[in-house]
Amino acid sequence: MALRMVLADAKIWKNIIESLTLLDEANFIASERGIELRAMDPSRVAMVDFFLPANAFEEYECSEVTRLGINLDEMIQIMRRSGSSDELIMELEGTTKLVMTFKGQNVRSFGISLLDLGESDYPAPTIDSKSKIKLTADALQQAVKDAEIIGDHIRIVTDENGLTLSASSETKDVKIYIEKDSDVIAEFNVREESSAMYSLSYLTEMTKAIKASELVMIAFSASMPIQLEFPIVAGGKLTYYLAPRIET
Amino acid sequence: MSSVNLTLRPSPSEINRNLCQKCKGFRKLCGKSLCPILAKAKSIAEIQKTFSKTEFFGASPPGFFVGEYGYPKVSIGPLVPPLASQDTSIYDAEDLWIEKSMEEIIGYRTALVRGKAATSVKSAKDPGKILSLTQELVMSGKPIDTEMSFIKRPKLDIVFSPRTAPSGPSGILKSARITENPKVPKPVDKVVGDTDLKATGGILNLYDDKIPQRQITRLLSAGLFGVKKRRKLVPTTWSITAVDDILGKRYWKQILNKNWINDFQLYGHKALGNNVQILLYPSGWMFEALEYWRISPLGNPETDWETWKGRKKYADVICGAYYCTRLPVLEYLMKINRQSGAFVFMEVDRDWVPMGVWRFREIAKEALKHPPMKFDTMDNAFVELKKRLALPLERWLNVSKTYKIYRTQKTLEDFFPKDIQG
Repeated sequence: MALRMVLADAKIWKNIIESLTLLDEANFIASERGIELRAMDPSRVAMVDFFLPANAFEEYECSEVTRLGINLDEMIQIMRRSGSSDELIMELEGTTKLVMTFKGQNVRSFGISLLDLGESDYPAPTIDSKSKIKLTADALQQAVKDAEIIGDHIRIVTDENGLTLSASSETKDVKIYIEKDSDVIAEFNVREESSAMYSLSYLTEMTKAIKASELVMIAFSASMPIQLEFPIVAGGKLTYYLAPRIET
Repeated sequence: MSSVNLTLRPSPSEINRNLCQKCKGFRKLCGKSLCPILAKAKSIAEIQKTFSKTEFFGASPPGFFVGEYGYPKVSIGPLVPPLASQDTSIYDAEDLWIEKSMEEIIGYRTALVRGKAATSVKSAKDPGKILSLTQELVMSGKPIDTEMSFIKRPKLDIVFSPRTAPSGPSGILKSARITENPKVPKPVDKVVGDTDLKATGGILNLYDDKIPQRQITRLLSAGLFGVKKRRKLVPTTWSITAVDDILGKRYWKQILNKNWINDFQLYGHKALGNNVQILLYPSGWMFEALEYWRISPLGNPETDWETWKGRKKYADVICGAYYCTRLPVLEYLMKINRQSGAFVFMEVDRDWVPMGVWRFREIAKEALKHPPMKFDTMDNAFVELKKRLALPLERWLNVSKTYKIYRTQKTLEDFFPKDIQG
């Protein structure tokens, strides 16, 4: 079994790993096409679907499909030790250890043991969303941050003219309106007015992917799961799914 | 010590619950059938007889107390009952008390004479005479004969605390010594001697080596864990909760990748005027501790909670009771190799005399030892739960945060059952 992946800029991997805080530990799967990960969080409310194609790497060698069970906290700690111009080399050593090497002014290698996490493979959910809007990740993150100081969930409403995000609690409320012609919107496609409510604690974790991408596509329908898709380097993507909250 | 949170202070409400009415036992105005002050005074009268002025001798269970008043300069010292060369371990063994009566427990505790010496918490790594002796004493796995010499005859002072068990008369120590060689369990010796091991690691190692939690708590309190230069004394109240928290956190991390339970399980036990009901339900890890003191019919239950993401802030509403009930629930889930959501309902009768949070830990443990009643829906579980709680269930659910999440938050499986279960 041979696996060797070289990224010219370690920061690419750092940003990806720092966007996976919804998960505690997870299986990356390396294959000929690239490296991917698909996993639900322990509450089964959210899912992460990540893919980085082989051509995003300087060098990419993978002789067979390989499952890499990773404790993400550990990997974040290691990635935070990367320098700004470091190259990152990830190599499998034996069958149970991943060696991560930062090559810059000197060469630093960290080894982490792989976990046996079982084979819980989920196919990506297929959703035919009625509202699809591509906007800057910053605009979404700012709205989430606004809502966070008000309540624990956010309502997202679309109509033909734009997008409204709002939150409220007993004593406070906030409303953010983004017109479809606004500069922060790149694509706007609303087939049907949609309204749904989502937990902010999950959205906060998801919008961390702003580090890996400037744009995000949000797709949802009334009271259905929302999909947040962040395009990343070389045609890769970081997609999140989040189940709605419902009023009772 | 970095991961041990040193600001585990009681909340104002925790302190209020601690107060007796001002009748000082005269008419039992507080409505309790047992006046804690009278009970204490009575047992102290017994001890006084065994006092020869300022000298005192007995077998420490072993027991030890670090006050929090005046932190970082605190008062420390051994707890010693007036019984020499006997097995006095029950005097400080809260894990054996839920079978006892409140009078008995107050009897044990107030028989413990507490020596006090003002000590800087930083002196743990370089202890003076009295601290050094006390550290030796808490390392002992068995009761140990101890001699205390006081500046003045120890005084009766009335201290009932919501977090810690009470103790008897106290006085300023002139000197103290132990009169036999302590028998130190090997794992304790090893961890205390390891000055490169962090406190958290020491606590986990000893727990895995079956050292009783009460001894681990005392060792932490006596500043015997951690990297040498960072060793510090930890007030007993904080130490109790820090150990509950550290032990619980490890299990929390471990259960997150386990399967959910697939039914609704109700556990419960009552003892010492305290009722603990635990409801486990199919969900990712969520925990909520709800507490209701039956002092005022108008009062509402109070709550602290966490989701599978855990807590970053100290649970400053429920305080010690939060961490000491979370631990047995997590430990139980580890045992059955599952994760779940959990409600812990705690009801405290008027008759309870504040003697520490240990009873919630022990009652919860006892509850989880017995097979649960199982239900196929939350509503069916609620029907039984209603019968077991004095306060109407609606009042609990109104304040519950995780119940709201449970009711309103859909899962992805609700939408893509086939896709996701593959």
